[in-house]
Amino acid sequence: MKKRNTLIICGILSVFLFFGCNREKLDPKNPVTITMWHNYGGQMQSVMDELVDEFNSTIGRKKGVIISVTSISASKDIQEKLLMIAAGDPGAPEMPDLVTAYPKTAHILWREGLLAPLDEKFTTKELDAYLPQFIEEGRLADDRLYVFPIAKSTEVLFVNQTLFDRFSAATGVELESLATFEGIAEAAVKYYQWTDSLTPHKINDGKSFFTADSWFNIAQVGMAQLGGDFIHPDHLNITSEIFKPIWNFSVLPALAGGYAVTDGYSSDLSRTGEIVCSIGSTAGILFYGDSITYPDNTSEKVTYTVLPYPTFKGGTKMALQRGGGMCVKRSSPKKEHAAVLFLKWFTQPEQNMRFVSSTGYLPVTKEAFENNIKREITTAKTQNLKKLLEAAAHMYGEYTFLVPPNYEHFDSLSKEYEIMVKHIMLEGRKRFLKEHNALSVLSEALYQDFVNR
Amino acid sequence: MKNSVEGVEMILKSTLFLRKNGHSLQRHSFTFFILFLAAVMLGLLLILFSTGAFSVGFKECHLFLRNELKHIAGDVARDFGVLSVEGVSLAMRLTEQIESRLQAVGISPSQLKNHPHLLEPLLSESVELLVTALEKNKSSGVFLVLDATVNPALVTADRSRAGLFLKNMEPNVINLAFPAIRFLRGPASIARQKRLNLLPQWQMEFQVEPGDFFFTTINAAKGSDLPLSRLYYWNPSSALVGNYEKAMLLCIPLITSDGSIVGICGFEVSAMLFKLQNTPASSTYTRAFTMFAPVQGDALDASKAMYAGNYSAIPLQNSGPLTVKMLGNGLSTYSASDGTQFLGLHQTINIYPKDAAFSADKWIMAILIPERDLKINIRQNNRRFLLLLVMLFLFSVGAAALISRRQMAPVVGALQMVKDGQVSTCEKTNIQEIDDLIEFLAARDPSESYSLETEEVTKTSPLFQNFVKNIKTLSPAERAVFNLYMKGYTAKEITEILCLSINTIKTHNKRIYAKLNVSSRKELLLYVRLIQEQEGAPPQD
Repeated sequence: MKKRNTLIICGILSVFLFFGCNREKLDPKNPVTITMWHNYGGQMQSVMDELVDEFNSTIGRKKGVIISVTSISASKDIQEKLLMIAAGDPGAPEMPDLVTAYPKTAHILWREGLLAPLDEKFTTKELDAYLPQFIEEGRLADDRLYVFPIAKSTEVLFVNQTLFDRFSAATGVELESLATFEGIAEAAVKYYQWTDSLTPHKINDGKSFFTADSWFNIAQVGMAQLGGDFIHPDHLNITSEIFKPIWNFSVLPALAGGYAVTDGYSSDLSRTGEIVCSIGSTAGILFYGDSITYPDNTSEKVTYTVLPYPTFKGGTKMALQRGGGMCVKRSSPKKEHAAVLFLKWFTQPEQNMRFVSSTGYLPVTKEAFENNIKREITTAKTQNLKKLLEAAAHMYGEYTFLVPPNYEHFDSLSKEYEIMVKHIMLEGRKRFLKEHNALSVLSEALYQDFVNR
Repeated sequence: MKNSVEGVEMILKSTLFLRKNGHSLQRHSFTFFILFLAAVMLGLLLILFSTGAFSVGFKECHLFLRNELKHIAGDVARDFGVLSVEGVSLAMRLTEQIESRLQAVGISPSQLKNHPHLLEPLLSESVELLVTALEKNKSSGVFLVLDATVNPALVTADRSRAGLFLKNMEPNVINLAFPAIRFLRGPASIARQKRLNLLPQWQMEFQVEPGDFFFTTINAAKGSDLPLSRLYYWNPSSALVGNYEKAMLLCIPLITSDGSIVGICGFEVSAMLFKLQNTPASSTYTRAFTMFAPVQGDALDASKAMYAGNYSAIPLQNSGPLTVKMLGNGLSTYSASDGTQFLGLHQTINIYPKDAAFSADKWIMAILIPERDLKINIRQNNRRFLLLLVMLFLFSVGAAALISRRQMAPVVGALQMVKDGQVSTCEKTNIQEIDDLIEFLAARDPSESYSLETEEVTKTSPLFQNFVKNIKTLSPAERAVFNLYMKGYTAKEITEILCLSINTIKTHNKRIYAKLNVSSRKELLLYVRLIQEQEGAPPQD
């Protein structure tokens, strides 16, 4: 009798367990759909689509997971939507299960309890396969992993070699001089003067030589290169003496007309031949293209050279670690598990290198970085990508990488600095053309205004 | 009498227990249950077949396709209709603006080609109208292509057209404060002036070629006296030169008041937008997808179709025409040239008015499922059904065996006791016939004849005295039965004598036993014998 009762109880429990646990387990017959937003558009989209399709038709189908991409847009657009979601704005879209985000955006989502921690979804061995600094960057205030690295980037100097060669031939400026920020500043002033001299009948119509996607990043990394700390939790360290070389680099050549100041990306100016070089993310390589279109609709084929991130004289070799990662929305264990399954698959060296070799991003696993990147350099799809991978591999051998802090006011501080510096560069240039002051005097006056604002 | 009992026992032994010449009672009972079960199962199967239970997967699929088609086709017809109307309105406003600008500088619209310096101001002025139209409509892009180029001297000038193409990167998100608008085509100077970022696929001008969206729209409008609302053209899914994403373009000619066609404008519905809005929702058919395709002869042009589904239909996009064949069951098969087959439903969507320039272009909306998926689903459904039936059958067989055994157990037990000669000690089985039989056998069993010497009860014992005394308490009917027992009649003989049923006799027996305080017939007969001995009557055999 006792045995029979035990059997009955076991039977009932099995039924409960079967139906109960089934809801939380992946089931190929009832696949779970994981929505995803990512910022890999344009040329990157085809390789991303290809990988998502491959996942859906192989491991996804076997395990019962469907990845459905519901938005492809620029990082800042995605960030804007995520902020709307975090703030609960009316009209905000529903948060996807997987989304590319930077730690600073993830921090806001985390604060609202919208993100799933990922540590326990990976074994120690699995996490050890990734570059530790990439994993560390994804840890937020509670020291848990929320931003999973899928592809990283750093900043490099893109040089339009075709335009530079003409400039170099006329002025003798060497490409090597662009290894330092001071060299770039000097070249910028010379380039403006040289291009201005090409049209003697028109004064002050010289061309800009350089621009940066983020002047804030230059200040952030520059201070670190020179041994300082630019960012504090509630203010920027602009009064430090170490900041002066950065100010001089950023403002002086701009006053002389050597820099372009734009709200867009530096690649936009590069495609119309309005600059010779720029500092931007490695992931921006595809935006540069291989030609320049001039206002009269004529175009010219050009080649690019990718140089490692410049350093300030006397500074150490440091560069910014960029590129967000994938965040998993806090939902059901089943959905979170399905989302992580995709992340694990996507970052396996084979898949990761396929993505990296077509986009300009850098791989995230030790194996892919140490072994596969050398192979990819020889088989890169374009010359630009080949040069980029060479520069990145060189930097990962010699540079120290700086991870931006996740301070609450980081975003507003960086935005404020960017706007202020650009404003000073533009207004300062106008003042220079109007007042014809000495550059250094004007620069110092502007600096004092900036500090005392 | 003894012989008759032995005869019965012999029969029992030979027929019920030993199964020398037949089957056991249990087996008979089991066989009966199984036959009954088989009949019920057969009936159930017949009912299931006749009600189409085995084709329920197909019916569900048909219902799913029908509902999705109705819903999605309705949405697409409405969305494309609204865009068409809005596109015509945009074309009218743009034409008016361009004409007025040209008028201001004293140039006739037909001369626009010869004044490339006017293009940038014209385009710059148009940005506002285009942005407003883009924000207002469910569209992924808006464009304006002028029939002119900024540099007519270039070798490629005949295929280059000045214009603007603005993309809304988030057409499905309501965010009027910060619309994600990017610059795909147009002078970079305008992009900077309007603070719009260039897309990686940015080009300054449109690259056009004969037979494409631009020339098809322009050529249809040339010399036509149809109103503008009858001249728009939906260009099938394709990527602009230098672009990666496919899209459908709504193209409307810009016809000035003097009849000159200065260009075209319109909206874009990108593959992503179409996918987001028209993906079929099904957890069963995860590979179901929507296809909006132009009709090419008797087939659908898969390479120019729009698709929406969780799985990409990329292989199909690169295949040729999709042959359609109606099936008898209400569905159609759609066969690709590489042999891939789909099942689905489709309906025509009218994206042009009947009297429009392109009304001959037919578009089909179809919801498709890979044929294999439907087959697998039906097979899995039926397998589950059959498995349940088999499980039910097996359970019933087990239950039949158990019930047969339990039902027959007292009978078999009682008969075993009879076989063992223990009729007198047989317990009641509560089965009327068996209890009667045992009673009958016990009554005739010589071992049931008691001698007074062997019994404890004597004529002087209080038990006997009470028995005699209690006889007076019997009712007349019970007394009649009791008297016949006294005379040595059996229960069956009493039924005949008194013309009563055996059940009535049994009822009387129960009452007699209760009143005389005896527990069995054996005990009753013992007292009867004592009474008879007391009265001097010889005991009955």
